[in-house]
Amino acid sequence: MVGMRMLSQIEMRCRCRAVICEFQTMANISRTGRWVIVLALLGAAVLVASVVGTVLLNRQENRLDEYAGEWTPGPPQHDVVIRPMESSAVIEAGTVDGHPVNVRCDTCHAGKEPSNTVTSGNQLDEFHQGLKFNHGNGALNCLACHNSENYELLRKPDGSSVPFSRGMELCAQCHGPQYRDYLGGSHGGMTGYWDLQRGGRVRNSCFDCHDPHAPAFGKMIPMPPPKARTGMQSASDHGHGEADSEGERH
Amino acid sequence: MIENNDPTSGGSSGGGCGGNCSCGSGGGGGGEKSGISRRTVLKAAGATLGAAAFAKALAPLTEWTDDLSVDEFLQKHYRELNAEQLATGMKRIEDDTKENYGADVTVEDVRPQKGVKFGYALNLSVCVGCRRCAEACHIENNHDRVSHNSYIRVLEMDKGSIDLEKGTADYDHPVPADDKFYMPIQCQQCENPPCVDVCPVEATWKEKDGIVVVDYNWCIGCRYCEAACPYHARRFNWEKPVIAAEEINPDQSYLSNRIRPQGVMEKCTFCLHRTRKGRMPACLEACPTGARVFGNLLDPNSEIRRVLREKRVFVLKEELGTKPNFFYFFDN
Repeated sequence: MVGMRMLSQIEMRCRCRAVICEFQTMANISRTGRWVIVLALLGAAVLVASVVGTVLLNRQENRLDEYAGEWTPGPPQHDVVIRPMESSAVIEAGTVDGHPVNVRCDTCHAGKEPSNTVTSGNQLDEFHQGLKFNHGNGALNCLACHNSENYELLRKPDGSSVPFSRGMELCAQCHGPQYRDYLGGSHGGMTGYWDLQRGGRVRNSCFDCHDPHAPAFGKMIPMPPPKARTGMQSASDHGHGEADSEGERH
Repeated sequence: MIENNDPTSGGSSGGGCGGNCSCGSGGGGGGEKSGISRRTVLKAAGATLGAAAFAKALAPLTEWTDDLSVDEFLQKHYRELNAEQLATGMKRIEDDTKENYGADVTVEDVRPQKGVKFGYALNLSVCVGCRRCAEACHIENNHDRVSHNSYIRVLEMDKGSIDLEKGTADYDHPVPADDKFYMPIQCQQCENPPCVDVCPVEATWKEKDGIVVVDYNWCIGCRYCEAACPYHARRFNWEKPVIAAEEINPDQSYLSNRIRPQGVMEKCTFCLHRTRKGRMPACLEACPTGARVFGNLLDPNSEIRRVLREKRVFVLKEELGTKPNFFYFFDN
């Protein structure tokens, strides 16, 4: 009995739905059904209106420009300047009345016989005593670079002279790959502009980082690492397997 | 459903519905009893619950602080702003910085140049691991001084291996250590950035010159992008950044180094406030060895193109298909 009633109700509902679906006259639909339809239509209208309104409101002509001008290839408008190198052929010779005194190379070397065997400042009796020489793994002596005919100049392996102010040319004689990379911009620090049409660049010379008498780049104390957040373990506390110092944040 | 039954079932099968079925009292018996019906109680309970839920939904309004102005809250996405709205927003940031940090700063909007696509290369043969780049980034980009944050993380790795998992970022001894090499890692400005793909609100996107940027005002701080980035290049602002007024870099831009609010993501932008004006990024200028090469990938005569042409470059985690615009190489 109950089952029969359920079946009849289900049948009714199906018929009701079918009536709505077929869009027959409103008279066949219950009062509530009419309200549902009216509300649904109202809702749809509001939805459409809001979409159209949003689109209209957001349609702005003066959006931000995608680009600020155009970069075009062209010749450099600014120079790449290499930081000035030691250009005067002098040596510090202590102080007189508190003022530092520089002595030109020629002052002493003009009358001295050059030596092919000196490889360290400590082998000398006067001047250059503290000079540490560690260049070329013992294969070089002073005259490999200094010009024995004129101590105020440097000497290239082919015998030609180079002033101190162009000392990098001498470096390049042996360190070709480094000089090539320097010229190509992948060796040696710099500041300034990547775009030479808009600004210049200042580059370190070899001697800003490498002492020509002991050119190996020394060890440095690094800047401090990022700190762990308060209350968290630092990365080193749980092993060096952490690839990052923020691992503890997770 | 219940009411749909009423007009029809009331006539044909009304007898069955008259018993203890609840629809009976709803349909016809409004005034049968004078006391409080179950329906009234249910209605009242429902209304109470609804009101409580509504109140709860509005509760965040009670936590509205001065940090968040109505204008800021209603500000549109960066890419939907017009010039006037953006100018207003940038003025507000300048005022907020003055108020919160006591510093006079200028915030500007620097757009990319057509014909420029930025690339970065790093010479691992000359990097000594001194972290000058990370420090320069820290200062240039107005990072939180307390956490000593930076967009660059320098990994110390064993020579002969390139297993990033085995690198350490918190080494603290004179560098370069023997048998170690150093690999600074920052945002790789991928061609196919997973961080952009996962952002649920499109608060991060790739600009025309290749730089992936974040609208800090649009970011909801869900950190999906941090999880998606295979290079761990994104940072989260856990706290409001602490910086002394005199240490704040006053040359700021909307999409890069302005002081970020708490609770948003941030990342390396190749210093776009500098590089879009033709300057080098801060990390490059700080590098004492010249390990870093920066430039325009679309300019065949640029240094970066020379490196790509003449050096054996590689990218990190190439197998992931992210296509970085950041390259590493060793001297040969």
